Amino acid sequence: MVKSQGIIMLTILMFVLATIFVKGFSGYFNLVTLLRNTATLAILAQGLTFVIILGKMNIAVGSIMSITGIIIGKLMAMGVPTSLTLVLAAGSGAFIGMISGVLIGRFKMDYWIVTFSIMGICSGIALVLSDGGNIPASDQLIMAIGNIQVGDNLLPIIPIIMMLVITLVMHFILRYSKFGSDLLSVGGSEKTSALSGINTTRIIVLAFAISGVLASVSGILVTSKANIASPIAGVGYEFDAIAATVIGGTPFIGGKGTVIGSTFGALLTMMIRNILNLIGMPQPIQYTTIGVIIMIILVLNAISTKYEKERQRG
Amino acid sequence: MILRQTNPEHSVSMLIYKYSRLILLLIVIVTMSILRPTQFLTFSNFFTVITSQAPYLFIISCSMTLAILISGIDLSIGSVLALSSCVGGYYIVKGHIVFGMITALIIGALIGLVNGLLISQLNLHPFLATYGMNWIARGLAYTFMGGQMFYLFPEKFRLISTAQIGDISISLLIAAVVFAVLWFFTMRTTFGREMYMVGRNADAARMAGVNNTRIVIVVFITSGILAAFTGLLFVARLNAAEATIGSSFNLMTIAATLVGGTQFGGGKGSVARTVLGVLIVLFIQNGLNILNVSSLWQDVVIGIVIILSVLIERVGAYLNDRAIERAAQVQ
Repeated sequence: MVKSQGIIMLTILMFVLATIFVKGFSGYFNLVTLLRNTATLAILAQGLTFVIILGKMNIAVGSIMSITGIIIGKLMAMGVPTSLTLVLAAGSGAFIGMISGVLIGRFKMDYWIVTFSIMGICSGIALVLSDGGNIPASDQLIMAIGNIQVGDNLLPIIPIIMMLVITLVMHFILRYSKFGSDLLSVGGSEKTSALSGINTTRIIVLAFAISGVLASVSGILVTSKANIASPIAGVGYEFDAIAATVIGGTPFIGGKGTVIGSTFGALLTMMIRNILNLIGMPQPIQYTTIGVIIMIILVLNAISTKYEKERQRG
Repeated sequence: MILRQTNPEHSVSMLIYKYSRLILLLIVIVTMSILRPTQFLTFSNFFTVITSQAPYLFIISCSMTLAILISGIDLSIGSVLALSSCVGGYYIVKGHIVFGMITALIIGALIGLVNGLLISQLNLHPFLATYGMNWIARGLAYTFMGGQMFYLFPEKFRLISTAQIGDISISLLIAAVVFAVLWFFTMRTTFGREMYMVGRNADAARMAGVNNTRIVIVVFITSGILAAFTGLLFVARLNAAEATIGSSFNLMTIAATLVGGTQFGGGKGSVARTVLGVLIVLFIQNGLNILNVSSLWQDVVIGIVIILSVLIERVGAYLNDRAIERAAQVQ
């Protein structure tokens, strides 16, 4: 069982330090934006957490976000009712995730190469559908998902509620359902699980489908924030989501993990981005800085994994 | 090679699998020749693809092939190409040609070294290490350029890409030299043999006394240098350096390597196969251009090509297993 107290403490500490030392961090508007961005990333990271618990990876989640936005824009332009559009958009994420899951679980293809190719395919299709530019995706319902007017302020209430609900649901699935325990078992050892009668292919396909759906939900949130669908909206999000998951305490070796940790990991990741913005670091250097920070986290994770393996062996 | 020893019967399906890459290339060429004979099946079209597109893609695909052969991958090559050619271009544009070129190659080598260290010393998965490096190097390239672009490079420098010997472009000759050198080192030296051992089974190689760390680091440094070198050739040809170039190379080079028949798991394949892979990828791309398919489709098609190559590999492994079973039953 992975404890998520560490990450929660770290996030609180970071929050307190940022409030004290970073000018503008505790401003009302900034905190609202931070929460909104966290919701998007947290939901994405939840799905990825399931995949990483399997000991696998879905690097295509960012591109699924992009394609979801474009699908919404396209369907709305065709006159499909918005509510149906949203369902179809989420369904497309599930479908893409399922394809990856089948290739990986059924055909035993390498998950890196499959999801990397799917990433190319999805971002390519998003560009083709949108003809390379932004397309409008605005509507009362979509605007309401992004913002609800409370008094004089626009608040991202729905994204925050969704983040909380999804985190709780995913937590219960992981800890208290048959699927959750099968997931942990397959992540621990695929062979042993198959021998003990678990349909490993089904678990793998489901986990990838879940990560696809949640990526689409994040895609919907990003679209609703901007009221416009961009074919590159999700570029780079996969990296943040990997970081959030790993910071949250789900190691790459698989077989264990924590959903709640991933949500706090997302908050921490977004806080780092937010702070870099507030101290006025130019965008290009931010790429590099965030890259370096994430790499350090991954390296620390890799070292601790190596250490743990050696301890188990010795 | 194991294939031939363990498979006594050359069934039709086995033969098809074995030559699947050549068949694929032929299918692409024949299909296009039927669809657009006047535009595709001309000497000048083939000549353009082979002499002015293939060399660049081939050299940078060798980076990817080497990394994949040792069971790794190098997703940083696109950004390494951009960063090294931008920093190198800064000096070259001012007239310090040799210094600029050396700087570019050193940057490529340094990033390769960091990749190699992260992977071999810290056990970071090659995918993660190089994907992270991709973001870092791209960010550095953007920072360095600050939104501007270098152009009007010295003619003397541009010769590395534009010179012609007879009808043959110098870039084709350079690619041939790169191929010859890499082929020699991978197929005819102890280092090459050790490389394949690490790719097949890293633990077994270590137990057999191979210095895995050295292999991984050397391969990633080579990969970085080749990427930087391609960047220089590119800048010389385009007569411009900017931070955005090379971003499509990650997918393209993986496709060229895998569709050529190098296996993703490592240890099986060669730079010679990548020659075939590069031609397949380029003729597909060329065909799509001639068919007036939007270039936006490129990544989609390349992604599908990669997945199909890996699927063909799985089918081949399945056929091989079945052949072994059958051979065992006969005995």
